[in-house]
Amino acid sequence: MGALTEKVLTRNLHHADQPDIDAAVGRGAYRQLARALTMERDAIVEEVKKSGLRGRGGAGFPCGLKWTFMPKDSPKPRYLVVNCDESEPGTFKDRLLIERDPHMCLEGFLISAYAMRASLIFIYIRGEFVLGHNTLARAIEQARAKGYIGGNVLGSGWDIDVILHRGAGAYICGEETALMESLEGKRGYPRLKPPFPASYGVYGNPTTINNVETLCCVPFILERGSAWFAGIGREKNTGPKLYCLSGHVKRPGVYEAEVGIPFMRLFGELGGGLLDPKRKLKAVIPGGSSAAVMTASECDDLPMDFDTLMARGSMLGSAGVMVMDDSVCMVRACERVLKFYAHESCGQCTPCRVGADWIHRTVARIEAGGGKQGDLETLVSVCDGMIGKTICVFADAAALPAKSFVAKFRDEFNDHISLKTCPMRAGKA
Amino acid sequence: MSDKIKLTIDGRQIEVEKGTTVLQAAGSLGLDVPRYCYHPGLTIAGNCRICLVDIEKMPKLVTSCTAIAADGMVVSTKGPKVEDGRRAVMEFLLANHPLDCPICDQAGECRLQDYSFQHGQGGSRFEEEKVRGLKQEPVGPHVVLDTERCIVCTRCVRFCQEVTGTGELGVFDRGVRSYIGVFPGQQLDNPYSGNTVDICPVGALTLSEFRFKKRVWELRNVPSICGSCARGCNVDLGTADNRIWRITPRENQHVNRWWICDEGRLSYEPLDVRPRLIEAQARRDGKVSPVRWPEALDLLAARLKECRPEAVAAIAPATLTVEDLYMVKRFFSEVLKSERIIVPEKLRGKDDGILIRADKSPNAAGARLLGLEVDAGNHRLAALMEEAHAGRIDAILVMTDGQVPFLDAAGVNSFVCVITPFADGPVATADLALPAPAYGEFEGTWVNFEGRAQRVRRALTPPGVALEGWRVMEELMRRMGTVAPSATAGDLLAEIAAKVPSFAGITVRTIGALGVQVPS
Repeated sequence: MGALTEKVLTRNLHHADQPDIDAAVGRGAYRQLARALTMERDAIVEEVKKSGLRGRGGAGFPCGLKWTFMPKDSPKPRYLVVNCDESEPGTFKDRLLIERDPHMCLEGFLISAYAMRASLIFIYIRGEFVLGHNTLARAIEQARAKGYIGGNVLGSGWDIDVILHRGAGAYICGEETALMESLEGKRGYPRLKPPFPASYGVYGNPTTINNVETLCCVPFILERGSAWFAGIGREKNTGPKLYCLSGHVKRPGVYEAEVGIPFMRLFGELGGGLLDPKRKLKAVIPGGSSAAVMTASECDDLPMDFDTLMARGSMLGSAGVMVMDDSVCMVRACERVLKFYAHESCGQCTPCRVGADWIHRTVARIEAGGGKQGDLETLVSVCDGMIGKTICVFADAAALPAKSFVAKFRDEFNDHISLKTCPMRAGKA
Repeated sequence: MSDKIKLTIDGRQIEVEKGTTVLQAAGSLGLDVPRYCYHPGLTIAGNCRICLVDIEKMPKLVTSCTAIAADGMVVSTKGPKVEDGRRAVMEFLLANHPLDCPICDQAGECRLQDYSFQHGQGGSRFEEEKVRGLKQEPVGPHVVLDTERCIVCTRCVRFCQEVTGTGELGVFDRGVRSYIGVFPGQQLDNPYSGNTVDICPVGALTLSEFRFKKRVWELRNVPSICGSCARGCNVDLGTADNRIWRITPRENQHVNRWWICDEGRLSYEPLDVRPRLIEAQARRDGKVSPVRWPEALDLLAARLKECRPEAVAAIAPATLTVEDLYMVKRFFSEVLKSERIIVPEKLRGKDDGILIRADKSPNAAGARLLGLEVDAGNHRLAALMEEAHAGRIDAILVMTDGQVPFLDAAGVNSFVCVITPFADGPVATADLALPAPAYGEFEGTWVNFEGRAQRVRRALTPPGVALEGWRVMEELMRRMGTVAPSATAGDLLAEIAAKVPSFAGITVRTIGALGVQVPS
């Protein structure tokens, strides 16, 4: 168990010619694919399982285990769907990978598809990622021309094709089953589960859906072995990980570190600390806007891994780390987060459709100085009416952070209500 | 092999088929789990979230419409946890709802009202401005949409996708701004569009023809059968003030499932518009004047007595009941010694594979079972008219609601007696016109195209004194021969069951609410 001492996923991102297949192959791309095609498929799955790789999209589900859910004896075609609909506020890592090193991504997708016996890869890419889309599209054509994609890949007898599909601008289409509906040309509504994608996915066929960064780890696991991967980070929280650092930080950006890097190292050493050193750290959203907000004191000794953050009431999520200094009004920050969810709720389930809008408007009213006694109690109760009562976890993703803002910065909310304005705006804070 | 599983719901054990949902299992115990989006005739959406129940060993409340019953499952449909969940969902549903119940046509049969009554709370904590939407938006010729009342349960959308396959409706925008609408350039204009109004659990979709006409609690729903085609859909006649205000489908899995077509739904409309024949009238010396029933029947009996058996005919469409047709047949064979009963064919369009049949006669199968062949191509009818024009026919008895292909009686030298509810149509040229009850005013039996005997019910009182065809025949037989009068149409059906093998065992009782298959 230890720190990451080198760049792995990001090692070639700084080469301007890396999106070009010749340059990428010159730096080792597709070498692991060629090796994988000579391996037993189940041996690859086993390596991924042993590596401890957990999904980088937000839920942190063990990747190898997910692959084993694919039915072995189904006569139906099997699909790998790559979730490249990166939309979680504060998250911008997958975008970097596809824009800067599309062949590393494709190699990961192809090896994974081979391991799970898929015959087709769908890459669902966020519609706003125009550069990423064009880069990937070109990379796919190049890979096809070189025989990495298509019939009889590298003479192995394995056929694979890749379809790149652009989304149309809905956050919910990053939810795996809404993504599949959207991919099928339907309205992006999350599906009822069960059945789960492994048995009933895209077009009703067995489907595994993984995040881009997750699959990018796979070639490295093959190259260096599962033990190497499992040796990075902490127990059950292994491997290199991309952290998206943003907000009031001196050097915002994507940082690659081991899973479980202490927040203060990520923020202080890699990010260079606060943008304005005269300010104080006030709060951190550690895993995209769906994660509960953490106070500065909660961040003191905080390993940024799946299990620790979960145990402390938040989550690593997509590792979108948003830093706020003491110039931030937490009511306003909360309002802004909730505005996003009110806008993005797909509207399928009653509690989320109405609740996401309701809690946003309540917080907006408080922020604008129209708050009343009892608002906070109603707000928390409305959140409770949303949590755990819907088809997908979107409602929880809106309600849990809302509750965390109120719980951890209740005084600020109360000040807004009693002063009938924002204390910061009024100059009283 | 039995694929049964056992579970416990609210402390009661129940055995159900594998694959049954918890909601269905609870339903078979008589427990009414609330539901908006769930409809047994549509795929499961699971979006309204009101049917939440507590299942042991499950961390969260579960929607019972989506949960498949499992062996040993222990379910609570009540209790504080479930009630809290439902109350939250009710509060969400009503937060942006306009609460315009006083002017809403759904009031009285609205699930928002029902479940507010059962699970809601008096006040609302929602203090924000309500989201506004479209009001009184016609989405098709029969359906009006109010998106503010809509709870986006998507029943109507699924109906148009799954039942009619027409897909006119969709959900647009998202989140709290989600609304149901028609796709650009389209209208909700399929032959079944009215069903979307029935299945709408709230007042979002209302029927153009019914809205603002009547409070639903003032309607008396009389179970009956639609007469618009040979399907014989089961319907409720919503009546008040001695008229039909609306027709809604009545579930019958053997016939129409939950649906009816728009044509059947609106088939009551002409009843209000067409002039009614309210008293018997006779033409004497070219002048038409009212006559009392006994006099009219005497007159008719006297005229028929003079007829040659080969020169008397009846036009008896299969809109008539089994009872009517049976007595026409008896009268003709026993008294007039004639077999010339023509059952006109009434075909239009095609069978649509859903409900609508090309055969527009609700009782063609009944006629056939009585030994009356339907006049394919209406050739016999044409031949009869030709003979009548040539002066070779003494008398024609026409029993019609005016919707039979009927050749103009003017210029016919025969004596023409029309038994009809309406004063328009063939009455103008008839020698004798006798008022009959219109649809909704008579009771009797129809047999649908699949051989299902069903009961069409009397819901209204006819204006004036109208006699059913079978009563007229009985009266004539009393005057010209002997027959014991039947007290009711039901008594007559018992006689038919006893005498006609095809109707063996068919009684008012065996027909019941859902009809019964005639012996094959």
